[in-house]
Amino acid sequence: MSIPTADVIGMLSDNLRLRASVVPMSRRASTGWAQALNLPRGGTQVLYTGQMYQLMPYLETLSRARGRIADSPLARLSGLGRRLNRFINVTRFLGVPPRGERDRYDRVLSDIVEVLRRAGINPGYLYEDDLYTGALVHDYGEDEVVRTQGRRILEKLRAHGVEEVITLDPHTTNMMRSVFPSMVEGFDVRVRSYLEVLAEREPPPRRDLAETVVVHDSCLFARAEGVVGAPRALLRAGGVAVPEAHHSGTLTWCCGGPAESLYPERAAATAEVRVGQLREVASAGVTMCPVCLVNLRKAANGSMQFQDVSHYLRRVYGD
Amino acid sequence: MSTVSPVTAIDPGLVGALSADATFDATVCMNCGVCTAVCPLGLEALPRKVFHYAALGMRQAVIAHAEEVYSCLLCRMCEVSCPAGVHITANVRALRHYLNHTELTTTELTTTEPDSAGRDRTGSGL
Repeated sequence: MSIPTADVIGMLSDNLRLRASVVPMSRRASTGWAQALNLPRGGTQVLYTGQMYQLMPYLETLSRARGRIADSPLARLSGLGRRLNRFINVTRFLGVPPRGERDRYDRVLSDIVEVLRRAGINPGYLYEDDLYTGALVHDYGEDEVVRTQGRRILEKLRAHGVEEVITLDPHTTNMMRSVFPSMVEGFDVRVRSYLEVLAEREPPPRRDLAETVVVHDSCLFARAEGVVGAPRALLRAGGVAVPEAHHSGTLTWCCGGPAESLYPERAAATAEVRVGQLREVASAGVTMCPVCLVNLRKAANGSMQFQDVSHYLRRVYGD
Repeated sequence: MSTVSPVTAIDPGLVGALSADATFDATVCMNCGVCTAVCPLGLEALPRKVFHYAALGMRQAVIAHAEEVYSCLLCRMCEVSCPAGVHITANVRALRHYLNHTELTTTELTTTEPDSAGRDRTGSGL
């Protein structure tokens, strides 16, 4: 038996509406990495994570728990679970990811800050006010919940006097740059991906890597936000050879990640096809989205190495 | 898959309900099939067939294809390839919203089968 679609969507939607995140996590888990880097609080230009990288280990844990529940009699109680979740955070009882998994995603955030600082860019951070955008709930068509979240985020940005936001992942970039301005009146803050900011700055590379990686373009970056050339330019300037897969740029092939919540078997099959396409041109690949990273790593199962693009950028431009 | 009666399944208010939160422009589709050809999941009915069911008010046919509506990756491969410029991802999100909030009638409950994974996709009351 599987968990009914409506209960999965309902629980995620309720969490965003009531607790401002699809999978609520502690403040320490979402902002500890920034405290360690002494990122200044607020400012006119801030780094906005939308908690995407921090959420990934929690979503992976939730996905594993969902698989266990789906194979047990508990699946019949999903409706009750959803009703209970409105009063107590049921998702908290489904498991906490191991420290090592959380550290791996925090490292991506640290690497990005290091590269930005070396390029002379020193953004602030909103800490507990760096809210999840609701991208997943937006995908499920729950626009009223998303609009409320957009208003919440706009209030936070205004309270901190933010004029420009530097985003990290494609989902947050798309929500902040394209979705919220069309849904929330007055949402007109300037939004750029850190890859665009860096490519525009053209920082001098500190190392020549002489390695080869294939870029897996995120669907949203490539087809909705026009972020295609920036990662390639930054890698190539650091001596990295970037051969192109048959499906790349605006014709990139999805990693399958968006189907993971409801149809994990379809997500896995799509990711396997994508890994095959990428493996034809290189044995190492880079992603720009944590969802892509998780799905492609899982599908590759060690047959190909995947890293977030920041891993290479830190080695080229970092200390 | 359930058999859909074109007489009993017509709901003239369906497109209106779908357009409540978004501009549902399914009628712009000219049924060329490019979307089907490029779909990474190989979806057969979504988007063009389901869009036409919706535009014709065939509520039961839309509900019968709920699995395709929810499994769509929203990757936009079809959207950037569509010669008619249909807002495919916005339409799919509108269909999901409609399905999320649709309480099925007794007849629909008896004719709508679980999806291929055995999920019970009955009215959710979100």
